[in-house]
Amino acid sequence: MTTEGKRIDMAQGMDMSGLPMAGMPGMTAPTVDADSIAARVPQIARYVRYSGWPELKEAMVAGKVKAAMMLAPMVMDLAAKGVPVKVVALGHRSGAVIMVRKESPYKSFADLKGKRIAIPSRFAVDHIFVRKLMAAYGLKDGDLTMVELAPPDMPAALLADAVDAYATGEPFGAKAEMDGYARVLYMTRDVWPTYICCVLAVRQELIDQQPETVQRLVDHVLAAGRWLETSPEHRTTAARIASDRSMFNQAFELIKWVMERPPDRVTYGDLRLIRAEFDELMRLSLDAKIIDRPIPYHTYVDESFMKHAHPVVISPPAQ
Amino acid sequence: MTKILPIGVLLGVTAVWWLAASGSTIFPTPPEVLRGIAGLATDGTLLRHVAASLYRVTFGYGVAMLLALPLGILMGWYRTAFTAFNPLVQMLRPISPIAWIPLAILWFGVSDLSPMFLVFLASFFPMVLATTSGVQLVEREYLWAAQNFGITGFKLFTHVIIPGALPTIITGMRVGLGVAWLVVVAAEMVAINSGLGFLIIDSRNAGMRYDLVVAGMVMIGAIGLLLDLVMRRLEDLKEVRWRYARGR
Repeated sequence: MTTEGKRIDMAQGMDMSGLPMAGMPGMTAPTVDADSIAARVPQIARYVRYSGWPELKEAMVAGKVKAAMMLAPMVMDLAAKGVPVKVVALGHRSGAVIMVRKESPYKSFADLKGKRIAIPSRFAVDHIFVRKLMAAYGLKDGDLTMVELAPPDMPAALLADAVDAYATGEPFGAKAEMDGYARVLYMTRDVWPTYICCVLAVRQELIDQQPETVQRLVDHVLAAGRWLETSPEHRTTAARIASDRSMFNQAFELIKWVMERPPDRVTYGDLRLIRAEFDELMRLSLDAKIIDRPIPYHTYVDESFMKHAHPVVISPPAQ
Repeated sequence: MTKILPIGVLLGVTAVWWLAASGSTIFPTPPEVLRGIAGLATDGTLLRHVAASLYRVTFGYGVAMLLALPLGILMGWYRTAFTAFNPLVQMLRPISPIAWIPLAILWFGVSDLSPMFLVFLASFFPMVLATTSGVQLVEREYLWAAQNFGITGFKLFTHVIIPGALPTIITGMRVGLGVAWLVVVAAEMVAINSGLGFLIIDSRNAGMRYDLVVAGMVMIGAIGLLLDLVMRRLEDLKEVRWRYARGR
């Protein structure tokens, strides 16, 4: 695929934790990823939406999809088990929240001791976020009941008092906040601003056979990230693009809320691959039993495309 | 022969599966799945998952049966009841339990009750339908004969209508139980850390544990088979042998 203008399919996983619910209204995406903006540049990639992480993972393992936004620990595990996939860039940083009922008395994470908190799945990065807060506030295993729920079901579960709190990727926190019955207890921006959730992963054969395609993809992802951080209007444009039916199919106001309140709720400016951060994430994943053995950095990361990135100018078409 | 035949078919299917799965990244082979089941059995989680699913299915199915049989008998016998309830039953029947999940969470929270409710919904309607048609299909000759003997009212129900409808009702109960297990994966999307459906969902969320996905499938299949064997014993009872043309 050396010809200019040829595209690859780029898939985006939704924070849905395995629910085969594609097509139901309101069941869509986490946050805007720099990738999804880059995917708007038509000659780079064609955007394909998957309604759950497992479906996306299976398509990637089977080689039906060559490039995808995936959960970082998932890529680690796949690579360790012999699936030829590598992380080539990040999609965003931060972007996870812990939500509680508006009138609830909880002020700090320590107040959640003995309570029920929903997480998307024990393999989700949000689980790591919760465990990090547990460690920070001296909570032990068993001090919290973790309930696995699909993120789209979390706001309703909080409203029905089925859980006392929930941890998830946006926009499912903002949804309950916007509807007026929930408030943010923690955002990753406050306690873990370098939080990595979704990464751009590509299959090894794409790296081997079409390195220039991967390079252009990475260049455009970085450019989209910079573009998102240069002006508030760009974030509004991004929200409009991402809310489209062909992308996340979410309410524009909701995505705009996530993009703007506050503007560093999700960040895109620093999409570098930093080994120490991945090593920490790997250790935390090991500790959370998401992976079952240590996985060396170079098994699942290919830094070369970030190292050789060229600045490109993008101007995503407004809808 | 009756023992060799089914075992032969099962072994044949397993052999085809083994061949098809060799060399696949996702699809595990039978020995991998057996190792997965053995792993779950040794750390005690297998029993926990089986017990949790059995509990939820039994409860959901039990309540469904308690409500579906009387409603079906009413609808089968009284034209008015049929006219009144049939459209509602037909409307609710095709809705997948997955679509009910948000409401289940709203009404029952995240507890055992939500999956039980979803199992209930799934198994209720096939049993209502079977019971209704079982009662509607009770042969006229039986009723005439009963009338000649002066049997009316409650006695007519217990001595003629119910026995006459039982073969169809039991088929409905078998279908209902099958459906109850069919939806256990969907139902246990709202379950806390246990159940065979949960095991399947959880293992898909894990990186590469498709051996456990198939292990969950195999366990559900095995339990389904065992339960159906029990249900078929019901058909051998003397009270329900009114309509079987062929001996078994």
